[in-house]
Amino acid sequence: MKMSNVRKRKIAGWLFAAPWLVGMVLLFSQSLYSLIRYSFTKLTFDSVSGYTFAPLGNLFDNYKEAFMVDTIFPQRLITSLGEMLYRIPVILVFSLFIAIVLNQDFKGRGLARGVFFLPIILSSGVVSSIIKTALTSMSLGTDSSTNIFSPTVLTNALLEYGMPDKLVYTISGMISDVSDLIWSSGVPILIFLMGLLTIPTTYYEVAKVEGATGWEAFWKVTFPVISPYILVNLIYTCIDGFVSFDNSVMQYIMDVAYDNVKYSLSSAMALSYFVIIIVILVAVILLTSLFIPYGIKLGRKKEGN
Amino acid sequence: MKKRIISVLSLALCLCMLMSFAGCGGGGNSAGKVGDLVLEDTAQEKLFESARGTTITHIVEGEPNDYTKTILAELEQRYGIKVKFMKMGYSEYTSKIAQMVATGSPPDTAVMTDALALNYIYANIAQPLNDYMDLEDKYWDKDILAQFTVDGKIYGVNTGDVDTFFIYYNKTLFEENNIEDPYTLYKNGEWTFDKLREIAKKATLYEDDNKTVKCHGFATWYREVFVLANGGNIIGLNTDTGMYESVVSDKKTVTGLNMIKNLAMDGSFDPAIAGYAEFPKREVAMLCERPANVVGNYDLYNTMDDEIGVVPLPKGPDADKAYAASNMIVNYVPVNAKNPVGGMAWNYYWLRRETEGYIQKDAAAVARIGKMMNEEHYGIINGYLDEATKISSKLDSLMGWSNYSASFWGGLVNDGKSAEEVVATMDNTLKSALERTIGK
Repeated sequence: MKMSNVRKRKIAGWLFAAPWLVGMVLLFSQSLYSLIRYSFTKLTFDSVSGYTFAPLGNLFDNYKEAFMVDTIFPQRLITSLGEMLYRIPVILVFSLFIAIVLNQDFKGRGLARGVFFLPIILSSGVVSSIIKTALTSMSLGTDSSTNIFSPTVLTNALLEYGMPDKLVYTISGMISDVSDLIWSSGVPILIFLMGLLTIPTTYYEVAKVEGATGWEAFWKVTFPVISPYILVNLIYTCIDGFVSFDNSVMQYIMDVAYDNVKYSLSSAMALSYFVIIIVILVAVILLTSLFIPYGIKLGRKKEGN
Repeated sequence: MKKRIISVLSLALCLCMLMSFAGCGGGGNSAGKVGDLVLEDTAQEKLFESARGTTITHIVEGEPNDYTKTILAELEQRYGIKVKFMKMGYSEYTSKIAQMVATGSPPDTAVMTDALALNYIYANIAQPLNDYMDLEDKYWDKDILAQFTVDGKIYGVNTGDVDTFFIYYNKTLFEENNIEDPYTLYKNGEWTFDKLREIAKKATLYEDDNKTVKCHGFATWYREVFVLANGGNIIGLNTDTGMYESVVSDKKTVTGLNMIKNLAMDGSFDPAIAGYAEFPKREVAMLCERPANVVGNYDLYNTMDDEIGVVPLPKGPDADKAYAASNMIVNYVPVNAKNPVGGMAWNYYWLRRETEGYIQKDAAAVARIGKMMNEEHYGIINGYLDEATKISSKLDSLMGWSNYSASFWGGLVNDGKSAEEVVATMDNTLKSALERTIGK
């Protein structure tokens, strides 16, 4: 029996996803189960069996402690969400801008692309850790002039001119984050560039014949075609930011587990954070889908016709 | 006749000498040769007999250096114990130790800092060591043991390293500005909190505009230093209940907190300046630091043209004796360690070798100590450590302290609030953090 193309594509899709699914079932599910178990019990260490799970007075005691007793976790959660609100648009706009620049025909384009993709190449654990340590020591350097991202002078100047404190500290916070933003933009640039390369040059030729300016061509041609990639990047940037080791919530969860040896509480925090991220991602996907003409939807419509 | 008497007397003397030499081997304190060392047997060592022929596991960051290898060989020769190293970095160790305890595969000895102490003790990561110790042994530092004792149980032992804070001052700068010499004041018994404050003010130098500070009188990153020097603490062990409690509102603590606040309010201390980078540039006149950092990390003795002076911290006005404010790193034996006796044997032998100064036979160590400081400073530091009671803080091991510390210290040194005011607002937070840390 001959397999239909649709069926073949479905099987190919499953095959592509298989390594991830197998990994998820074999590795992640076990950890997720442990995480859930830890969070609903009190894990203690002892010299008899190594560790025991004591039942809690109230099943949600660890969650109550995370949100109602611990003053730091909710505070860091809010701060982290607030930071994401400005980081994500900045990373997306910056990445799109750089991708458009890198898509132009100019001498040394290969080198320029290489420079912006360095964060991806170097983001493997050890190299990334060495570079980030170097950047940190630079910013804590003995000579403040060695910190190229130090906003102290600008902050002082803006404060002297009477600008509102909150605005000044938001700006200086963004400047301090420049290196982080560049670091986080490597993959989004690559995804945008891939999207830009899929746009046939004929679209621009038609736009030009119709008398569209460059600005109009961007909004009428480039933006609609790459908008699905914006959604992909949005999701990627959200996850990357939320689960980064530099994220203050992640840091705190690890501190509670490793330094304070409170694994049950830390698990409750981690699981809550996981659920919050999922909720945010679903909301982001639903909201952006309303405004983005997503390719698959158009395709399905065609199939139905 | 006279010659005969002399020869008989000489023979008798020789015999006595020979007998006395022979007697050395059979006395209470016998000597054992280890490598090129001769070590007295101690009662503590008898407790390690059961570990003969065993192997211990010990965490090490990289490859063991020559000094460690020497100790390994000596440990095997003396106690018949072999050592197997687990190689891992500090952050990997802290993130894995609980799992290792849970699965019964921890190392037989590991390090614990003040910042981890309460967590490891109350979470059952560290085990009591009393059964493996002869508490009368002279090598165990009673001050350090006391800082890691809860309810009579000792959880950490000294390693030979103590990071006590001293005040390093720019002697040349002091002389140029006719400022009294702190060490002379110390020797004369005039070195007090008030005197330090007065001198810090004098040593704070301004540009020609009389506004811009070009040299701050005092700098430190460790803000609890005066609390400890005053015999206080922010959280302390109640010896009656055997429990840690917040003692932040004690008079000794409040006085110590006000001292650092006053230095900041005088303009002598800028909270944003840790001082190690500014001290060599004459931007800080007195730096309160630990010798290990001054020598090891910053190498100030070799990089400064100016002459350096060193003086202990002044005894606080409420202190009953001299307290040496320190950061402590101890060795402990994790719960479920397979060979706790062997682990303690390693801890003891390492400590003994450090304490007895045999480290100086190691070429690298000699170079390090040679660079460390001149003989006079070495004497000042050791003299002070002999007479003062070492004291440390467990504040950094409180849950969430890294987050609370900014508002606690910021209120004092940035906003100029009085210690009483800051203490009043932080007392409940500290109590809650402490309760959650120790799980009571």
